[in-house]
Formats: sequence, C-alpha cells, structure tokens
Amino acid sequence: MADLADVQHGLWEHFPHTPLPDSYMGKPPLDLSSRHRDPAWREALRLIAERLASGSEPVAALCERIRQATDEELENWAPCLLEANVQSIDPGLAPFVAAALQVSWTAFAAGLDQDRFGVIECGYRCPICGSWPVASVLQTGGSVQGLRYLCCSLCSTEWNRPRIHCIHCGSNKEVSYFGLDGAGDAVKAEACAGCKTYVKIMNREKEPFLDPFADDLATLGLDILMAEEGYERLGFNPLLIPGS
Amino acid sequence: MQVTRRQFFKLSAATLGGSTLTALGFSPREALAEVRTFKLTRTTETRNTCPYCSVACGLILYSLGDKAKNAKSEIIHIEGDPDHPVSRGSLCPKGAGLLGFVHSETRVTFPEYRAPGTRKWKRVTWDFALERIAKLMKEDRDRHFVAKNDKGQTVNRWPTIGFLAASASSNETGYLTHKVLRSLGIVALDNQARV
Repeated sequence: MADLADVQHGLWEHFPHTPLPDSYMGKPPLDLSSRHRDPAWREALRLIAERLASGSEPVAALCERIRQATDEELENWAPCLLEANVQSIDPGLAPFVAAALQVSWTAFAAGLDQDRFGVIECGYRCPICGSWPVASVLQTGGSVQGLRYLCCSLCSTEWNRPRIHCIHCGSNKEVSYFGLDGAGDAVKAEACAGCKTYVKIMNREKEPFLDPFADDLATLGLDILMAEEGYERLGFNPLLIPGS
Repeated sequence: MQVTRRQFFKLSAATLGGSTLTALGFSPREALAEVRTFKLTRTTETRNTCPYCSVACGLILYSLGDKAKNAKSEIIHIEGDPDHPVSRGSLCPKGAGLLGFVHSETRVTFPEYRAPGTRKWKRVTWDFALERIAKLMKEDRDRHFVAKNDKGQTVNRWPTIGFLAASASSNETGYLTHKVLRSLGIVALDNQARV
C-alpha cells in the first residue's frame, strides 16, 4: 500500500494543467456524473502497474492483468469505483484503478481556483467531485483547530461539517462515539443510532500524522466490531473493498 | 454481504475473505484474531453553554456510558466547541475548569432552607422551596405594589424586588423571562448577559 502511494506521488507530473470549469452552476464543479474522464488516467494506471510489477505475488499478477488490458477494459473498470459500487468492483484491482483515478482527479481539484467558487453548500458528498468521503479528521492549528473535515475518497478535497451531527441523516440526537478499548482514542467511529450508519473521525490533536486512508485500514477492527453492533459503514475506501 | 444502500456495507469475517486485503495477499485471520482482544468503548459528546458569563461560550461535554437504563453516565472531559460561532473553541480559565465545578463535592444539587433565626441549613423538597418563594413573593407584592403614581396615572410597579436572569439564555428564554416578570410588575430586572 505504501509503495502504491509512492508511485501515486511520482505520477503527479503526468497531469499538466487542463482547462477547468470556471463557474459553479449549483453542482460540484468536477461532478462525477457529468465530467468526462481524462484519458491520461489510463496512462497513470499502466505506469502504476509497470512500477509495481516487480513486487511479490499476488500484486505482480494483478499488475500483469492491468498491463494486458485494453483501453476499453480499463474504462470499464472505472465507473463502479467512481460510483463506489462495492458490489461490482473487483477487490483486487480496486486499489490500483482507484490510485490512478485519484491522481487524475486530485490534479484537477488542485488546479481549481477556490475564490471563483466561494462557499459551496455540501453534505456528505464531496463539494468538488461528488464522491463519497473516506473518513473525517479533526484538524489542528490556527483557525481550523478542532473543526471536523470530511476527506474525499477521490480528489483529496477536505470539506467542513459540524461535529456531533450524523453526516448521513443530519440528526444530532443519538450520535455517539465508539473506539477500541486499549487502542488509544485518536480514531473513533461517529455513529448515529437513528440511521445506523457511522463514519470514522480521526483526531489529529491526539495523533498529528493520522492519514484518512492508511489509518482507516489500521483500524479495521473497529469496522468489524461496529458491524457486530449493527452499524453500516458510510466511508468509502478503495483500499478496502469487501468480498461478497 | 449485506448491502441495504448502494455504498454502505458491513465488514465481517466472511466479507474480509474476498476483500482487497486478501486479494493483495494479506491474511485477514491475523486481523480477526486481534479484533477478538478488543472491546468497544462508547462515549457521548453533548453541546452545552458555559454558565459563567455573558459571552456564553460553546462547550462540548464528553461523557462515558450509553444513556441506557441502569447505566450511569459520567462526564469525563469538557472543552470549548470549535463549531461555536462566538467562542470558536476557546474557553477562559474558569470555563476550562468546568469539570471541577461539575464534580465538586460542595456543589449544591438540591434546595436547602435556613429558617430565620437558625444557623443550620436543612434539605427541603422542590415543592417546599417553590411554594415558600411564591408565598414570600406574593406577600411582598401585596404590600408594596404600586398601581398608580402621585398623579393618578396607572403604572403597576412592584419596586421592592429584583430579578437576576441567566447568562446562557436563548432569545426564547429571554422573551419568556421578560413576559413573566414584567407582567408581575417587576422593574428591577437584570440579566447576567450584561455583567
């Protein structure tokens, strides 16, 4: 997973500035449903597969599968990931396909001029691309100290939502925080008993280097115990697609 | 796997089997074994307002327990509410020390009464306290109420009593306080929001 992140970082240069929408018509500016995918993401995916091909099995086999795939096949893998449709995603390919799409969309999002869009009203879907959040973090420092931001699973945008509110149904009546006893309290599941969903909330005041993707995986136990309590997971992490 | 809504799911021993982790060669068995050593803890966070002064800073109270029957919840931590539009998460030393105030041994949690001429405080019921207050208020009002002034104009004043309202009141509470007290004729009405 760490190698994959390193490769992602190195791919940044492959996404030069592209024309971006300069107005916001009541929809996320990089809306998944309307935006055409930049073909460069396929190139990114092939580069990822190439650079990780020397890894151990079964990663090498998955990379080989990506390298052999046609453009059309690659394009067919993208929609189910973009829609976070866990039932139709191939769990093995997901991290690689998602990594390429993430670089592509993050490069777009980083090129947006924030001042042009002003404040965008948003709920639990990303205000920039409309994707699902992976988790939320409590920020530290300056004017954002202690504020909760949701992290986009696709374009890395972070957006503010008030704390002690269910991000799914908006209720603040039955929100409680579940943690793992003895595993520190930096990562908790913010759960709503009303709609029975949860999203992880990571407190950077307790651990400054918490990462919404990696520490989501690192707290897998929390997901399993939350499932036993009858809660469903809202956060979407392409590194963690369940089997059927 | 149970999927009731498009993207929501529950992770379990079964769904970990075919998951990304196993597809990449990790063994879920290890993770599952580790999970068995953990227990879920549950805390609640509740918004409130600092009771001390007129700034009325936002608070988050952290408590243990799940509000279930027979389970005693306990406030374990209090800090400023970063989402609060006025205080933005900050608290003064008094507000930051609220946990000690909540758990103070000398905190008064029930009404007490010291009869005139005695030295001892006695625990009384809320009914007793409210009745006693109402009775004394009525006596005082009956004796001192000013219906008309020297010129014969109707004024309906009750000048011998004062009322100090709270710091953390909402607009609605303020409206009701005003309505009730002014209708009794109370003139000396002040609010801690002005202190």
